[in-house]
Amino acid sequence: MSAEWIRPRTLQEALAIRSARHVRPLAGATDLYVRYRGIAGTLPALSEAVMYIGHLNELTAISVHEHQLRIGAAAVYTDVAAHPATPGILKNAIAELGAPALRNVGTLGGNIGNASPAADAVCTLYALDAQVELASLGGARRVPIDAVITGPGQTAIAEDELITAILVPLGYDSFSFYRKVGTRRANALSKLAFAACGEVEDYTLGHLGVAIAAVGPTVIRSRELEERMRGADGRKIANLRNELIAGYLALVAPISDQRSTAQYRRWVTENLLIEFLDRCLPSNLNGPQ
Amino acid sequence: MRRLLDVLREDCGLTAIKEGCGEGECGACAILIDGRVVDSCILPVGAAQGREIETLESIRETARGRLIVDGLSRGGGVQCGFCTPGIAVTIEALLRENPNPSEYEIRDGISGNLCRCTGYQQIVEGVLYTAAETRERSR
Repeated sequence: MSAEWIRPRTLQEALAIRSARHVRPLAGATDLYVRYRGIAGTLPALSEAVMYIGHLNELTAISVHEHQLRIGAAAVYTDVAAHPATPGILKNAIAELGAPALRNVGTLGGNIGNASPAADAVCTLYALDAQVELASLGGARRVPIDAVITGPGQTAIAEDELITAILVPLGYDSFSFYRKVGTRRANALSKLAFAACGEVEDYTLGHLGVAIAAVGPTVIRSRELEERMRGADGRKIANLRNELIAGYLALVAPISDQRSTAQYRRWVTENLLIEFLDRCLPSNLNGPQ
Repeated sequence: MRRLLDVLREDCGLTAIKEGCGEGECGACAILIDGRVVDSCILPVGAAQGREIETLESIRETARGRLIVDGLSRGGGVQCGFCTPGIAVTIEALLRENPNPSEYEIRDGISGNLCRCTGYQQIVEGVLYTAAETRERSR
């Protein structure tokens, strides 16, 4: 059976449809045939109606408002990466995501709605303290990214809501660190990804966000461990190092799947923590040696 | 909703594009939509509504399209040929945006296209030839 295809003309119409009936919102569609394809040549085995929203101008715009970047949920990765205000760490994640043909259709809204624990772009959104704008006919609300994604494939998005935008605070990434570990450079889903960014002032650490993807049911971020690093200088980071590594390793709960094993993911997480704490942070906190 | 790939091949008779992996990994089905490269095997036809579609059938008739084919041929970038139409379309998208790509930029540009025969070096050399020749002729 072929799923019904609905194409609203405006965001308002899309929200009205969303409030009236169950539809699956769709923009880049990069996962539709991968996840629901039957045998070759058959239509996707998806029984829900699909509502295409990738063409809605209200959802594809990217703009800057005061100290915040507003990325339309259906803006494609290529356009997000090309925008002059996009933080470097998000550009890095996009550069390593898929390949040009996927970046020309894939969207941040889709990456969030899918709620995969291995979502690369979403991982950097955690580190950047991004918020997600969810709209319904009744109005819009802004929810922190870690409160939107509640588990693998699970979100706090209500049945009548659509993801309309991603709001990224600007100016919190004077340094950043991003590593993606996958089978090949292009088009590979992550075995895991590590994103960190923050501010350094007077040789001490200010605002900081550290996010690790694909090592638990959702992206892992610890406000508690970040708080311990806040205000630290290079020497204090060196003293806290072992505790921090142990703290993060206690939080990760990787699984074995077709892409990697739990043990490998744990080892690589530890190695990336070491690289971040022993090389990235000291080089930013101590300045050039 | 049918895939754009099937509509182009079966209804429009545009058979230059190929279905390789069928899940957006290999680029054999690459086409241009509004001038940007897209994998037609994972695109529902509805997502292309009202947009400009170009396939190898039109690109190869242009001056640069002929140079792309020529470059792939001279560089030895074609063996079995299954990936070649998608690679040629992807090269067109790359050169439109960046007429003078570095070797790194070429490799990044074709990173979504798998070729199991050539090992890519010959394709990269073919693109360098095409880019240089296109610039030379437009002087």
